[in-house]
Amino acid sequence: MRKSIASLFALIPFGAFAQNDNIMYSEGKIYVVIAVITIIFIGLAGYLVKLDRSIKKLENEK
Amino acid sequence: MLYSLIYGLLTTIPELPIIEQSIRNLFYHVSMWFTMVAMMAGSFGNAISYLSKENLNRDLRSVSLAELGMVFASLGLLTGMMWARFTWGAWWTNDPKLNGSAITVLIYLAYFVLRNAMDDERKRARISAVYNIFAFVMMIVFIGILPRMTDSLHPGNGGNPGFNSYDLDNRLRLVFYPAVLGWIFIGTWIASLRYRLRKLQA
Repeated sequence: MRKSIASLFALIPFGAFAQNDNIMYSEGKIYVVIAVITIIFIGLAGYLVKLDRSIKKLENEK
Repeated sequence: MLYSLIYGLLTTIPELPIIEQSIRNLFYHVSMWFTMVAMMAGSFGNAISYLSKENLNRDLRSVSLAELGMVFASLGLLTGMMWARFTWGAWWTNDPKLNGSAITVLIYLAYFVLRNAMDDERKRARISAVYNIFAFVMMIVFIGILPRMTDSLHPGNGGNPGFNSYDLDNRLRLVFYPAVLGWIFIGTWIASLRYRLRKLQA
């Protein structure tokens, strides 16, 4: 489980397969930062999509 | 006012990082928590103001801010887990700060459950305002006080006094504080959107 999530994040920047944690530790752990920014972006975007949906619902009621 | 908030949002982005590597997470992970505390403080203030003035708009503001606080708290937890995995070697450790923040998140989850359980507007507003005050105080205890009294993996806990123990040198500060301010702006802005939506729904 751990390995699979880690390698999922490792795959994003490279698109390479079967690279486990090594990429995350390389280049001064810069990919950790990238993963963190990705999480924040996905989280905020997801929240805004949710907001959008409830606005749309309100518009349809009118 | 909305425009000034959006400009605040735009100006902070170019100022983001050009420094070392994983310490850059300071700007993202740590500012999530600062923003969360700011949101909860706003929510707390509005809860008190509701109790003294009985204005239902205050209650709506209070929930919207608490909701945004929850968003930032979950982002803080997730980014923290990511960072912890590659610095401390585990997704979750029994660090007092981690457990304290998890408890805080649960306390605020209970706040939303409590709100949804009540139909009467006034009653809901009053009870959730009282609970909000309790939740805010517990948050300060769990993430502000208790971790400082025990040993922790987080910097600034277990004896070392706050911020100076990081390598929070001036270059980091120069980016970190604007980032926190920017995130607080973004947070209050989205919370105000949420508040306007709630007002329309009411």
